Amino acid sequence: MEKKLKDLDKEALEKIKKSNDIERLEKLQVEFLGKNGKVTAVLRGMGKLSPEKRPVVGKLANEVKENIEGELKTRLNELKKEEEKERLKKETIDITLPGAEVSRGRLHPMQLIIGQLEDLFLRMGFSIEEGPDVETDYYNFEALNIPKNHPARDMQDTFYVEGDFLLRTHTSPVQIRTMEKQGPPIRIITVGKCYRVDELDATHSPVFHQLEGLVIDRGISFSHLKGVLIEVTREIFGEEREVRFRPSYFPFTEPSAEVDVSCFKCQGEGCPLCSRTGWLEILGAGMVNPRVLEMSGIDSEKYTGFAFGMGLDRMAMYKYEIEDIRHLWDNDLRFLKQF
Amino acid sequence: MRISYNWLKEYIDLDLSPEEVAEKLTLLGLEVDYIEDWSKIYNDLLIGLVEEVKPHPEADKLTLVSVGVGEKSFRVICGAPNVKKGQKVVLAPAETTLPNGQEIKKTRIRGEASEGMICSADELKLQEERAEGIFVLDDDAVPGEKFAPFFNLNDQIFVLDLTPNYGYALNLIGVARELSAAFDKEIKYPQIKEDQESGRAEDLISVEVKDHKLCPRYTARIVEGVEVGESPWWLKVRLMTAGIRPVNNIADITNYVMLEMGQPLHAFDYDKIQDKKIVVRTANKGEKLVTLDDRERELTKEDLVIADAQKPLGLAGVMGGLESEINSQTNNILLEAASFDPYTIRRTAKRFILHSPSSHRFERGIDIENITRASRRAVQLMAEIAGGEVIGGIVDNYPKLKEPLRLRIRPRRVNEVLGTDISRMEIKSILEKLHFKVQDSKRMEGAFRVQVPSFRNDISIEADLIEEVARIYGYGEIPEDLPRVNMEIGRRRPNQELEEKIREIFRRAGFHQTFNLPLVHEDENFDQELAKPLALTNPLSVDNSSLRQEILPGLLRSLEFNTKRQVKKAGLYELGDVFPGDGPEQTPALAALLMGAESKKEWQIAAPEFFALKGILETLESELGGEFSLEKSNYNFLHPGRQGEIILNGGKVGYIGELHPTLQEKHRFPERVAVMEMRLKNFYTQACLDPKYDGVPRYPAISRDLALTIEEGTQAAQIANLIKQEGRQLLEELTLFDLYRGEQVPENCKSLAYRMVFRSKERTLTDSEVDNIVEGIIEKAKSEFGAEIRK
Repeated sequence: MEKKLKDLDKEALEKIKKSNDIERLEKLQVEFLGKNGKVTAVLRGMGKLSPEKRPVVGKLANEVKENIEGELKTRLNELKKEEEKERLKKETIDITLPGAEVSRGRLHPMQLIIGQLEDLFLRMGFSIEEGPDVETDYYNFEALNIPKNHPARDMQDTFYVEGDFLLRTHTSPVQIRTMEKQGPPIRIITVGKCYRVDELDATHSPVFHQLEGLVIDRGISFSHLKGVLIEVTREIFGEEREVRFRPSYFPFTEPSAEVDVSCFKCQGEGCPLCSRTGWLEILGAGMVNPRVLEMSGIDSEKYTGFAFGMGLDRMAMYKYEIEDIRHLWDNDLRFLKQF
Repeated sequence: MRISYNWLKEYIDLDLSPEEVAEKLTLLGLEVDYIEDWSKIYNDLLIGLVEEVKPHPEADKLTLVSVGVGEKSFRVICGAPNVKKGQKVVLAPAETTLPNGQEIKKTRIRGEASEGMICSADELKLQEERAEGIFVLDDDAVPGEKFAPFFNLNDQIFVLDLTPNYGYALNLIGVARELSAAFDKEIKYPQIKEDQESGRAEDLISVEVKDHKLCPRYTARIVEGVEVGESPWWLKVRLMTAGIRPVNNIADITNYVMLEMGQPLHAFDYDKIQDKKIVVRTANKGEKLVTLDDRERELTKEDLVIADAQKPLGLAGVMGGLESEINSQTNNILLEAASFDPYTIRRTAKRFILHSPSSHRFERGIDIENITRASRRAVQLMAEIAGGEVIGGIVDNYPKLKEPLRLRIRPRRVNEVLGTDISRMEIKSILEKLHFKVQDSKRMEGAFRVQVPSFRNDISIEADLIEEVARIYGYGEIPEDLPRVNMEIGRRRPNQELEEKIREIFRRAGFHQTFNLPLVHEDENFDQELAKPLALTNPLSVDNSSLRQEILPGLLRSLEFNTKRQVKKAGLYELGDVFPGDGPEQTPALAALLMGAESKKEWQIAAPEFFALKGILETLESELGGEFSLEKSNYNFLHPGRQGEIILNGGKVGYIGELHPTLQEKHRFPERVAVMEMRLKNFYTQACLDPKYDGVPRYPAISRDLALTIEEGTQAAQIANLIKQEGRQLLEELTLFDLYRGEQVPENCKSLAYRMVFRSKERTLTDSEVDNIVEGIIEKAKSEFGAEIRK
């Protein structure tokens, strides 16, 4: 009996080795270990053995059974692996074929600039105010220290609207509206459309976007204005940019400044973009004129403040190197899809 | 304002490159737009001597000229009738470029070689009109030398873009003063001889000023026996650097002194003045004046005129009259130097669109204390250049002397406002360099009392003085700092947050954001029920004359822009304000369009664009709240069978539909276009930004499918509403998954197949419970709509 078991073991292992498909292995399983299998048959004959022999043969029989089972399993795994390998090989794809199209709309580049700046100012603790496009002479000019017949009105050629209104020429009226609504401290920006009498061409548009900022508190100084605006320009145009402040004139700020950033196209060497000056003019700013504070009921001895305004269309044109302002209004999909 | 560097150097010693000067000016606030480099323009031109003139053998009108330039000579073919041996001329050798841009090449004309060109005045850009012959120089020109220095043309012109506060810098001395403060250098004022203060002037003319507010000072001087003619070239070149065209020596001198000292002057032909009387008055209504530009102007009571006893002679400070103009017959001159009210000048100049160098300066304010000096300078130049005799004395109508302005400046305040640490003495020194007189304040410890110079009309408060200190100290020197403020979080407003979300929804759906001009044609609206649009009173064109009430017309223009460029599919939207009219208000609105879409859902195939756009509306609803429904509408620009009003909580907020096929064809849109527009105000008040969490279901759901056959006239929404009503809180989800017409469905009927998911929050539902509900639905559908179950 022991010999028979050893022979069976040998026979089974050989057959397992030779079998090349899963089906055949399953048959071998039945042939040797099934209900009527060869090993099972031997085990059944165990009853005839003497009690001394029984445990010895029993142990051997179990060993043989486990061995065959183990080999079957190993071989089965081998075959499965091979089969899988074969199958996966057939499934090989050309990974250089184009990917599936992900439908995605774009934000307008103007929106991208607005979003970036808004986020920056929100991080600095500014709130976002709003104001109307159709304004009165008072908010657009008078309250900003630009009386009627003042030459400063020439700086902003104005559209007038029936009913004694005008289209705001800058976002600065929101400064006045905010000061009227809330006392200091004030820390706000506003973004919106502005209008000036300019034909639409490559560099002009009758409608444009401005971002205006206003900070009023005790102890606010010109050096704070510089600090904040340098942060802003570096955020938009990069850390390595130089920023230059130079005197300018706005009736509602005193001292007033124009802010230039070193041209990023020529690194300040001078090129057509910067009219060979090496500098790009990006915003106007200044300390709020005490007269404007007083007109809005704020004590100009106690409080000081700064204000700034920047043309966002020009910012977008600089940032993305857009050559023609009309692209911002044409909504040409070949343009929009690049943002 | 154009400033010649050569001229500027007469008033201040500067040993700097033009670029360095330009940068300094810009940093002082006198922005230099660019530098016009004349030395480059005139660099190639040489002074030549005409050594020989021979006729061209093959051409009658041409001559062969030998032009000597020192050791060398050039052979030039010349067509000018005035060329003569011994003349000093300007030679442009071959391979150079003329100031007017013309390139000179070596050529042959009818067999003869030419190595250059003798230039005419217009080719040299010294005059605008075409010259008859070549330009002949005075005898002191040295052949072989460069032409540019001889005419002072080796110059750089600073082209300044001055803001309105720099009225005092609209002249050479003004600019020199700024540089003198910045570089700490002396100013060299022009030599002006003392007046003979007594003389006959007062016997020869009288001046009456009707309103001293409009004309605080008026002075007149007389020069007799002038010879009016062309100015010498040095003077003409000076004017040209400033972009002013030379006219005659008298007019040129008035302009020269204005450019030098900032005081506009006007010369009248003395003999044309009736009764030898000047009256400064406002015009009578309807009074007429022919101005120097030969145009008759009808005047109003708002215009200030310089008149004689009878009639206006000129528009004060704006433009002279033709009749009293200086011409070659003029012998005697009355020179006006005055100060006029800036607003009055501005109003008149604006109304007549007569913006002159003179009005430009008066509008910005001139130096009232400089008037007599300027006119003295001018009459002395007239005597020198036009050979006249200056009559002693001056008529000076200046009844109310202008008090100098005195202001207080507190050094502590200066440093508070600027964030600097500038010493008291430095502040004093800066102001003194700018010609302010500075004394210690008697009333306030540490403060200064500052007297503002008469030419600084732009200074009126302490803040202006602080800017002066900052300007000279240098904006670049002010330290940078961030404000120390109360901790406070910046926030978007709810509507701004919602706009972000809406843009995100469109972006996900593949729509592109657009920006359309809010200035539109007055009757481009689609919705005919809108009020009259808000109109501009001074529009650029009819197409941009009103404020938009709807975004959609602009959006369709954008679509057309694209379809003209072969675009076949597009999803566009804009989120922006519209102006309802009837007042200045504006309100947020949303418009979107979709051209060319595909759908796999049976019922959407007929109008995929419409249902895609409706999907956006449903997404707004599901993500942001608000309850939209569609109601039948009747817009003539939309497809009659594919449109609806958008209703939000019972009120109409907009419309959605397919563009009428006629319009689609008119615009040549290649595919159907679905459009929508809605006002967002009500939506914003109802929308909700934060998601509402309602727990994860703890009990299983039971789903049932139900296909109902109904008549075509019954709307899907009617059935859906019925199911929702019957399903009550237990109906968790309702989805239409099929719409079927055809076999097994009678004519004029359709079958709608719904999947319903039922679930309770409290317990596990039983099948029979759900079956009961479904039975109820079926019964109700049968009784209300005659529906049949389709098995």
